[in-house]
Amino acid sequence: MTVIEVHDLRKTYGRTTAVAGVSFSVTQGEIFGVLGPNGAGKTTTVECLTGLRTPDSGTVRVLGRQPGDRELRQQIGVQLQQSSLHDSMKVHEALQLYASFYDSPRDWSKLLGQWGLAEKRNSTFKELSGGQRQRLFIALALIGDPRVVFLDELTTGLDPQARRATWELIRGIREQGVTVVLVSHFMDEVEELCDRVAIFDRGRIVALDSPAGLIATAASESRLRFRPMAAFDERALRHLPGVTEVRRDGEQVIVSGVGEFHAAVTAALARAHVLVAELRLDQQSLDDAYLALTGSRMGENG
Amino acid sequence: MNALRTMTLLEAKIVLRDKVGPLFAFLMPVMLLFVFGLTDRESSATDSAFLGSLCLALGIAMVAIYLVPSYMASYREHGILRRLSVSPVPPSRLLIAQLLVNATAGILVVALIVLAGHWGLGIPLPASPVMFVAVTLLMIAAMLSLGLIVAAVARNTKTANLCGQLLFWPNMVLGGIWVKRSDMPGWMRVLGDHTPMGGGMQAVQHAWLGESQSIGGLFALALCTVLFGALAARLFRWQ
Repeated sequence: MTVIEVHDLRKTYGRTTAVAGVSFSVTQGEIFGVLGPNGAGKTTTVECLTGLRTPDSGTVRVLGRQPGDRELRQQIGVQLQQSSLHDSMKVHEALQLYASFYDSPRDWSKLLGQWGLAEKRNSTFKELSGGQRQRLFIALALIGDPRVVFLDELTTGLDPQARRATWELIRGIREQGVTVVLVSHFMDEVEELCDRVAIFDRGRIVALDSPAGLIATAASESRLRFRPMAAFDERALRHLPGVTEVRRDGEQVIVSGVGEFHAAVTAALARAHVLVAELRLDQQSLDDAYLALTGSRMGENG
Repeated sequence: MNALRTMTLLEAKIVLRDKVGPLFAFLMPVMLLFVFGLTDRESSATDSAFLGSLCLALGIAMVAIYLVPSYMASYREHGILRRLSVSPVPPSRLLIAQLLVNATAGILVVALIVLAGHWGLGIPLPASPVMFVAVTLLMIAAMLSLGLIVAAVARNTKTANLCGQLLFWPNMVLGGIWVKRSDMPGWMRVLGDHTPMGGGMQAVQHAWLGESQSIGGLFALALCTVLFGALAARLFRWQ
């Protein structure tokens, strides 16, 4: 079932084109990642989806409704990047307040426990650490028992342990059939969580695939290294599918190639009864794929 | 309705927790009342009514043109209005909650001044109580509308406070804090009588002394409320 449908979305601010014709759809229960450098249009796109901005043209449908629709707001949860609460509002008050906005809210005290805020229930917003604030905002995004959640920079400010725990909870949310749209600049997070990723660049989507698919298509080459245990003519590998280069570096053989060439190489070695040691595949990461697609590294400010 | 009730109670708690605002709005007018009331014990009924109206106008002004704009600007500055606009409850509810809380605070300031003046300084209670309630409510509404214009546009607390100052002092002058109304040049008296603070103070004094009201003055107050309110609604920025 399609939950989000975006067709030819465009938005300009004065002379700057923020989004220049973006189309994609998200199906139910998916964790959909939105990646891209600063100013690539990802925030504007998500703002159009949540009803914070009105597109100049194109159609946007969330759960079959127009963003901003009152009924729709009951069914979505949003965590915004630049958001805050009044300094002297207490944790449990914030959750109770937001719970009062929804027809059938979740149990806020349960959410407090899930997101590790039970001990902080009587603390004011000012007293919370960055990570605790972040977790509170995620809890607020989930309080209405939404069918779709938009999370902008989910784990910014969280320590590694809290990030892992957050990922587990997000997976838990997905298992309940909730669709998640995740704006992130952490490659590991996207690779770990997302079923599909849209990479934005200069107002357009330059690639849309699963993380593994993106790596496979964008990665120019990867390298397989090994040390043959016996004499062996490495030139025999040159004609295998996907192999682009074979060379020797002392005792080591280095085979470069694209796609599934490593499977072909290991199969060929097995057929020739050549035992190898120190077999290593220098794999491409989503980081490399991203670099190839957008020409820029995913920085802290991405 | 449930959301608005929760929100209003919470806003009240937050305003009280902040301490500084309520302290200024409640304590300053009362202090002023006693400082002037005790130094000039031989004052006439007219002078007492002026002092009373001045002190309660001060309290209302604190609430309406300092507190409301400063809270709303801070909510705008910190993305709280933005966050609300993606929830089922529109950010205008937060404004309504703020207005309810601060209108209540205004009413409490008025009651405090009247009772403290009566028990502490022997200032007589308002001679026309019903009219007094009606005109203080009208004054609170007019002052809140004026404050709302600032609340509508100020990007942050700093701007809100600066705009508050810019509104506060001219209004105080027009209310007769430095130059007595009777010594004002004609144009200034007319301007004062037809703007929220000066007009409100006039109406309050009339009610306190049991004099008849100036219909034009009351009409001007009501008109200010509607016009400023409409302007604020037009200008309001929810993000």
